[in-house]
Amino acid sequence: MSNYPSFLGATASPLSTSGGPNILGGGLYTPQQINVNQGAFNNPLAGTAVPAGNAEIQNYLGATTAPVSAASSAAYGSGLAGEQALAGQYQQLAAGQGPSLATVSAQQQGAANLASAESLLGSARGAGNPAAAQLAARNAQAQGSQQVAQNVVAGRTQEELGALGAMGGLYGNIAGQGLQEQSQLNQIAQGNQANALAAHSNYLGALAGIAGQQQQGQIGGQQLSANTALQQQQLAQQAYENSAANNNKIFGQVLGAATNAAGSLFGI
Amino acid sequence: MPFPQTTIVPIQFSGGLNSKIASFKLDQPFLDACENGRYTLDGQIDKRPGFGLLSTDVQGGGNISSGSALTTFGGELLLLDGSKIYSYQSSNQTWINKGTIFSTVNSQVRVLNTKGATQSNPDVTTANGLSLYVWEDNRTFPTKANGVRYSIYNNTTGVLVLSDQQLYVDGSRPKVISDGTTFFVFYAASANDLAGATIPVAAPSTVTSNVTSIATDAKASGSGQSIPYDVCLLAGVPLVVYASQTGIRISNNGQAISADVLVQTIAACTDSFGNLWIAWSSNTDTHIWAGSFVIGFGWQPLFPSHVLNSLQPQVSVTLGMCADIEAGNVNLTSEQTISGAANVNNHFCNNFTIAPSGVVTFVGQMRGVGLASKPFRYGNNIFITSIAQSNLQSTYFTRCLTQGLSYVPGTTNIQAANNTSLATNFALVSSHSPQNGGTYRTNSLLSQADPVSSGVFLFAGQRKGPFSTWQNATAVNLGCAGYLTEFGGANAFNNVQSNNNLHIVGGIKKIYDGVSCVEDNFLLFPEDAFGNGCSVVLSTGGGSLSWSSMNPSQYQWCVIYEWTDNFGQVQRSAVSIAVNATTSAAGQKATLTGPTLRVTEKVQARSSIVISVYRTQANMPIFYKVTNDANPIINDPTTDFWTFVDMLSDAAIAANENLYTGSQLANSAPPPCSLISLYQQRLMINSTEDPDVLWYSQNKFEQDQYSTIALDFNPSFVEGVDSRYGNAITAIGLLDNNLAIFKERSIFLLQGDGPNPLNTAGQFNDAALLVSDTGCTNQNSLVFVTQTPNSPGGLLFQSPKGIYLLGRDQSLTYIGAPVEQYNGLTITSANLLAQTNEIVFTTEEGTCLVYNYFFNAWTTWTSLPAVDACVWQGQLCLLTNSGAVMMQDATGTVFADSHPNGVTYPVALKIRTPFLKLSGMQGYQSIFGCYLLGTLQEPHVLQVSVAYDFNPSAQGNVLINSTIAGAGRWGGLPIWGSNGSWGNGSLFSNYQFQINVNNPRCQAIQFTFEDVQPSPSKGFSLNGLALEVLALAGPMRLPKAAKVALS
Repeated sequence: MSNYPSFLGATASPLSTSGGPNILGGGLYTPQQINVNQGAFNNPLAGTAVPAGNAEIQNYLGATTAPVSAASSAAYGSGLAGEQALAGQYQQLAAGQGPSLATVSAQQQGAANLASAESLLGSARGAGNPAAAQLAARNAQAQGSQQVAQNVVAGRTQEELGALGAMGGLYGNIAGQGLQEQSQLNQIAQGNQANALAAHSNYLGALAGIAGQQQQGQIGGQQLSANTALQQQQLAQQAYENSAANNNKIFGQVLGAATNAAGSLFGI
Repeated sequence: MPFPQTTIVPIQFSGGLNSKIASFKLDQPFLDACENGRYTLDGQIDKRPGFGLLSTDVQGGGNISSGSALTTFGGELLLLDGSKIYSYQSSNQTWINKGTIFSTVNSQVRVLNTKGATQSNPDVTTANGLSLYVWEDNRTFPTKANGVRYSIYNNTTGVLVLSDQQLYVDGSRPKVISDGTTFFVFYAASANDLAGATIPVAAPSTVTSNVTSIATDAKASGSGQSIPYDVCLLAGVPLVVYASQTGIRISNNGQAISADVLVQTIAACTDSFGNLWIAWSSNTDTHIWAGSFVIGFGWQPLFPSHVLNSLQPQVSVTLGMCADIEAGNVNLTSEQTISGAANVNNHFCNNFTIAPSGVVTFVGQMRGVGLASKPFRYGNNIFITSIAQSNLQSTYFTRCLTQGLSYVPGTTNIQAANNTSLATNFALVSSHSPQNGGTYRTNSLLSQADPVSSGVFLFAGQRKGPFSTWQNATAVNLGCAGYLTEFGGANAFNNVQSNNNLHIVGGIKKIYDGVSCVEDNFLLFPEDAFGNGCSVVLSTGGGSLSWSSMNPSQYQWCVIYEWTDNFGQVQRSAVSIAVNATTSAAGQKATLTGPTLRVTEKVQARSSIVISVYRTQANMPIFYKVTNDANPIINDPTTDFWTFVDMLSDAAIAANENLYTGSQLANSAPPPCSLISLYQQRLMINSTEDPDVLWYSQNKFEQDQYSTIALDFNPSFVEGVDSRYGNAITAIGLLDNNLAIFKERSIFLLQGDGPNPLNTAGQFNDAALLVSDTGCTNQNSLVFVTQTPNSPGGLLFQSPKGIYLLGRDQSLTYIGAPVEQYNGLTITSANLLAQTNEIVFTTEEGTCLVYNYFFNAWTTWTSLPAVDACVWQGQLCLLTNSGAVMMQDATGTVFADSHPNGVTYPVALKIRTPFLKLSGMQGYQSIFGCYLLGTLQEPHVLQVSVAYDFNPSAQGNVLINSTIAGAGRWGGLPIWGSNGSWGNGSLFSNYQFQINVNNPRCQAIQFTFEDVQPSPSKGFSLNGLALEVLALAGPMRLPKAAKVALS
């Protein structure tokens, strides 16, 4: 038996097999799982009661005349480091570098939609005109590619803008925390000198305040993270919707053509 | 003086011919015969005018010698002779050759498509209405089901007699041929074995043997069973010519006829003298040889083997050869490949003629295609089918190897011209399975292209099966199909005029714009070997494409072909698949390379096709033209690819022309078609390969576009028609705001405005079934009449039951009942002569059926055989099969028909009354006198014949010569025809005389009045008859022998 020719029309088109919405752009949108680095915001004191008469406190009381460096606070330092790291990530995003959820999402959704479209083309009634289906699939790939590129750029631009905004907010938050910390420390020092108890009390209050602030920082960070995640989700969903809408339009025409062809073939 | 008690009975002729009523019952005012008459006044029949003959001279020399169609385009009278189109120049009475056009009717036989396997390299031959298809099959399930398989198809019934049978599991390279009684199947059975099988045509389910050894010393050209061979009939005996281990050998011959070479492909045929010709290609060159071969006596060569003096390279992939038009010559086509742009399919075919002396003459070239079938001859032309292989639009194209664009100065025939400048001008005849065809042949064999019936040729090819997807890849499997090409069919050259073009149906729908005929739109859209419109390479230096380190700039390019017709209307092809590239540095430019359109008739000296490239801005979806219309890329079909460098910035193209698909669906070439009609603001055609579907064009008559742009089609603009009453649409015609769609036994009406240009809104209503007891299979019989005395008019058509009127009120009337006796005639045209209120149906047989829609009366015009007719300058023009045009006189002075055989026949008006029964059907009467009233027009001889009692044989006749004074004193009347008595203008103008019959007592009497004047003249007009009758008592007196009694 001679070698049989491979049909040139059987063009392979690697596509993602990941799940996703259906061809018409309907179905539930399944958000990507966002893993927030909780460790970056963890306060080691969070959830830990400060025992009265604690040796650490006693020791600390003896040195109340010396200003306490905010940086010396492990909890504060940890939170600040996390925020600074996040700020760096934002900086990268704002510079168009680093991982982009919009890119990945748009590509994945575009690929998934293309795969769905081709699947549907393959199952069109009678597949009346194979050439029309082939042409539609190739056009869908080309248009889908450009749409993905378009969505990626749109998504990334929004990401960058979002990152710039978030970064600005974060820097402001850090700066605000620093000022607040300095003010609190000054209050502690004055209190120590005036009244140890009051200082102790103040310290406790201040410590609680710090813890609270740190807790707020944690919450803020988590909120920021969540907001970032939400924003990314929104960007992804918007990219998806753009892609889906576009692909829906494309594949609607394709499906219409295929269906018409199939329908025509069967006189339907 | 009348006899007492007699009655004067007036007889009228106003009803016209009526053959639907039995002669026993037929009564006035109908007529039993009405030949060459014309109703012009109420109560009068005149003689029709005669037909003069137009010249057949062709400007520049020669004559038109055959006719297929006659039509008009604007003020032009156009004649199509089957292969060329001519325009009549009345000023010097010659025809101008406007180029080549064929109009075939294509159809398709779906033999096999599977989802699990591919059918490759099919072949077919036909005998006694049965076609045997064979192919290579790679199916893997069930095991051992692959190999050579076959089906047998009954072309008459459209049924597969045997479907998908296995012939030999280990076979490949199958080839079939038939001597009329037996199908012979040959195939490679191993690397050295050729085997065969025979199947009796009369018992197709019987395979007598499927492993009969043909040769055991075959030599494969490569791995496996790649044995080069070919088969032809020599004096009715199948001969196998194959590559043996000692050289080229002929089966039934003792020794090789050539030295041992590594052969790639072989072709064999016989010429008109019975010599055997063999062409073969080694892996370095191609050879041709001819000789006399007689089984048992061996091979006697005519000339030494000759290396073809062809274009480089000279190695042939396949060879196709047949007897040439010129006796003793053969016509050889060699499929070759050439290196070129990596992304362009580079197969091409060179055509040669070879004389018995061995002299090789290069004729021309087809680029961008490989061969699909052997050549075949029809009439005085040779045809071959090629395959344009591609990812998305593989299509088979049949081309004429002996016709090109004859308006190229000094040529009427490529072969005669032998002009290399015509290399790409082989006429395009038909396309098969557009975009759904197969691949190049891969086993060095070509399909037979044998006749199925007169003028119908069949080859086997591949066809795409269902589209499927699997593991992120799309795919179609190729199956086996039969492709029929019919020449000279009834629907050939059907045409309508619209949008400044004459649209002509055919295997490739053509347009005529006053200059020549070319394919409508483009047969292929831009596509390279990878499926894109072009390839793109980015490079730095001089370019202005945008780049950003932050956001990658992705661009897309796509390509279309554009062409402008003689009226400045632009045709645009479908849009190619876009190709992507992302810039990687600043200042980059894009170098694009794409295929030229080599399958086209839009070549010099017509305006050239322009290749237009469109590009997006970075990451944007809108395409802007980046080629300059003032300095465009010109399509050169003698080359395989073009190159263009895109250096423009995004800003620079922002105001450039956008891709047209923003406002309408992409255009495509219309499919092979045989029916055509205008409908509202669109053009409607059928698809002969998908026969229950109509294609419709874009709506192009919007006020701002009126007659400025070409009609465009798209595969989405189709309308299927209910298949309950037969699949094939057989005729279509405009009926006011409806499209009447005819099938063989049903009629549908399509209504609606159809979709908008983007197909996003609007649609046609499904075609509604109107009638299911009759239909129409004759598109040529359709004609619209605005009104009749009994109806608001409508569409007249010939059904299997006669000529019907599909009314504007959707009623169906058997309006042609009076001419039912002519239902067996083949109507070739239907034209409305507005000036005389006549519809003239011409027929092949020569009897025109003429319906006067004012008087509701039928007549016939005799001895006017026509293959087509049209109205030009208000006059009816008939086309004979010899290519002569007969034009009806409009001056009222010509009463003779000038026939192409050089003979002029006087027009003879002939009227035959019904059997007049003045006392009832079987009454008895005595006729005392017959009084004819008419009008003398010009001198003539009138013959009056009389028949009696329902016996159509004349029992008496008399000649009345109007020009001989004093002659014909009879019947007691004054001398008539003499000067001064009557017929002398002011003195006496009545044409009236008495005819005394020779058998006055009868039950019925019939009169025939006929002009037998040997010299043409206007003769006479008839107005009426009066009979003086005495009814006798009792019934008809019968002879004794006719009287019987019950016992």
